[in-house]
Amino acid sequence: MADFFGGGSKSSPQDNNARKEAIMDNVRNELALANAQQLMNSANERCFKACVLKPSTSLSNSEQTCLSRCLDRYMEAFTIVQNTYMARIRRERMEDTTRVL
Amino acid sequence: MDASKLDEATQKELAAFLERQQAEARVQSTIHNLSMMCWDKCVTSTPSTRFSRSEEACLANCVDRFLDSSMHLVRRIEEQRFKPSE
Repeated sequence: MADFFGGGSKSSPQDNNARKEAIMDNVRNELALANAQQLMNSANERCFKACVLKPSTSLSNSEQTCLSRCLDRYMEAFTIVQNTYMARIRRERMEDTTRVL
Repeated sequence: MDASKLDEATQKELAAFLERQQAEARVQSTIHNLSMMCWDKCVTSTPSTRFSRSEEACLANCVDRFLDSSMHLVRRIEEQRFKPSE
């Protein structure tokens, strides 16, 4: 513990590696969390708009059904957009390299 | 977490890792924006158990046409920049 705060001594390679891995895991988790939050926020906004037309004292069964379907569709739309975008990026990159050659 | 206590090679490795993650985050953010924009354009009916064929096609076309538009505008600007009218 003293070494942790002192900082005077060199850290061992194992220490180094463990710290590195911890930082990397943290960053990866933060990114995944931000990604999931963004997906949920935009799905919620759009599904509320599409499914809860006249907000009453509680969510009706049909509103709940609509919300569930809408969430599934939003995820599907995200996947379609992601696949199309990635395919396009790959294609552009290929054209670039063939142009150089 | 204190990165200054890491040795130089590890710091370099981490810097490269962070750059990759940032690039990844930028791509993710673009995909989120496109998803919202294309959903608003293509999905107008009440969500059902599956997309219609036209909705599915619209979503894919929306992404490609957006990128086409973006490239078109860039070409347009460059034309004007390299060929001043007078």
